[in-house]
Amino acid sequence: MSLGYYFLLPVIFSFLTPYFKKLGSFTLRGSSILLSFILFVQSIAYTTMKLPQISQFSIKPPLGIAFVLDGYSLLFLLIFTFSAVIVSFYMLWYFKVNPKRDEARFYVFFNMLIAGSIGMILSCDIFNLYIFFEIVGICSYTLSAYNKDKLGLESGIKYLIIGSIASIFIVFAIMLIYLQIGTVNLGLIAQRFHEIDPKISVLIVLMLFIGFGTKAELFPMNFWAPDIYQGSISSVNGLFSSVVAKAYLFVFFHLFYLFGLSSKYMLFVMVIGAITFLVSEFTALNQTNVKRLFAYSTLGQLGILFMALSTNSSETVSGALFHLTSHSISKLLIFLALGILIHHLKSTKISIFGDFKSRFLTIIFAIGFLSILGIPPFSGFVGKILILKGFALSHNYSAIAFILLVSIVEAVYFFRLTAMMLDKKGTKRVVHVGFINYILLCVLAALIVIFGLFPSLLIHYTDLAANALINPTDYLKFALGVGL
Amino acid sequence: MLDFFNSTQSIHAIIIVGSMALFFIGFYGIATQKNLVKVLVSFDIMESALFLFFIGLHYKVGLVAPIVDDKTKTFTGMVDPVPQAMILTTIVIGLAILALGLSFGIEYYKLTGRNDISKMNELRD
Repeated sequence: MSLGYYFLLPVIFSFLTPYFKKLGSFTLRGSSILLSFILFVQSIAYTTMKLPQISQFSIKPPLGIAFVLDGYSLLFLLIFTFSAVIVSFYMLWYFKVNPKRDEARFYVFFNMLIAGSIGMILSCDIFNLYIFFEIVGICSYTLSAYNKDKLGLESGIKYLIIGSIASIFIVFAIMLIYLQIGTVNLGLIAQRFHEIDPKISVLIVLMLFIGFGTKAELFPMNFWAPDIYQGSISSVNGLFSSVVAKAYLFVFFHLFYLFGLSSKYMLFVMVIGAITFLVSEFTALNQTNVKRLFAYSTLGQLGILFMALSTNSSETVSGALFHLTSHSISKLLIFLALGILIHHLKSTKISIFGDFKSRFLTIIFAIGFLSILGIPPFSGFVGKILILKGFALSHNYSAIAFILLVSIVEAVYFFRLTAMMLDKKGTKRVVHVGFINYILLCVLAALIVIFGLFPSLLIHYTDLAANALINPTDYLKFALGVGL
Repeated sequence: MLDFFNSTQSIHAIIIVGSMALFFIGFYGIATQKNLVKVLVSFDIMESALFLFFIGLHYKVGLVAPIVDDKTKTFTGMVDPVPQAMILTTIVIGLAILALGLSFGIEYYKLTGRNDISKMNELRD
């Protein structure tokens, strides 16, 4: 299958949604599940093939458009398509308990969101990257306003305004790059980026940093993120946390290493990541809305990832990518379980954790919390220990101390929530999870435990991804179209 | 006098100054306006400034538009077509975002009777 189908199939399914709607809601829901399943199975098939893979459209790169899949993008492809499968199954339950919601509107933008995120990680052309960036943007604005109430629309409008500002910066950066180098191919830009006048190259880096940093929820520009999480439905929160934020993070570091910025700007990104981590975790402490709480927790974890991914050492980067995968699974688990809880208790206050009675959900939440905290035997532990090991190997002991100290703050609110769940006092309402959710949450929890007990299953792919990220020579060869 | 204005450098200077002025007009609008429609219009002004800047800097005196017909034998003496294609795409994307923003604004106005973005503060802890 050509890599182009990763973009083409979701778009076709998205445009066919009105016809599927006429055929009935079964077809509509089934088509989305079928689509995400095809993409996921195809991504698994790519793990056995030789990487990188390229698909060119009509003209050979560097003049033509091409999609390149290397080890780094393969890991993200697996995460995105897996999340799509889980969320499309979860929506079966969601539309069953909320029969009056507009299903077609959700599926159009859900499929396009998957198409855009996958396009962003495969594209090897900075202008196409921008187009996919906007596709993901428009879909996430609309999905965050899916609840057409005050909160939903407000979050949609806020996200749209912030997103437009970010996209203006990125367009400006792309134009400056084109004016200086005269190409939009990522390979050629990477080769000639050092030839740009240093003053203009600083301006370009700053523009790209502001643009992608805003979307990837970095510290000074992430004030909007909790609002967006609060206004949108839980499954969309899960998508934002495990797909959209990760796609922007992918592009951020892809360009960071491709343009050879790691030696100059390593400390800068690391400090910004550390500040993101610190500020988010302390702000999370006194939140009373669960969605805002988990949004701040997501920001904090992204801060750790920014710290670890900018180090330019393969051990730390590999550990960070392990942590990223584990965080995606855990946050998806937490947000999906939270959706069930919010549906039954009709509240988003933090006190709902003390008001429900379900042994299954308690265990699921506990697994998610402990995995994000980094307690063995869950996958978050392996990710964090690998990051700390990488920092130790590069003699960066202050970073280790910092991560461990701030993790204590994180432990405070997660243990508070766990204590509320285990508290036997007060009136408790029984929560019915539903058959589909039971299986979905079991799968996610099982993955967390399996990756925690047998990390070598995943480390193989994260090592591959880390090497592809730090030494993009293979990627450059394909992006330049050498020997095709 | 007119020859002076017909040189590439002075045209570029005018375009840089003009588009920067336009950009800051849009920026001022975003920073000060409270009406959602006015904020969206300010975005469009900012974007237009970027488009003018990019297209303008790729124009050189004496070059023609890159349109190929039967009489075209050589491809010299034409401006670079890539920026124009890129800007066309960006204009379409900008239009889509503007339309989406306005539709959000209309829905929000129907629900609350307000379109003041400084009063959109219900998303809080």
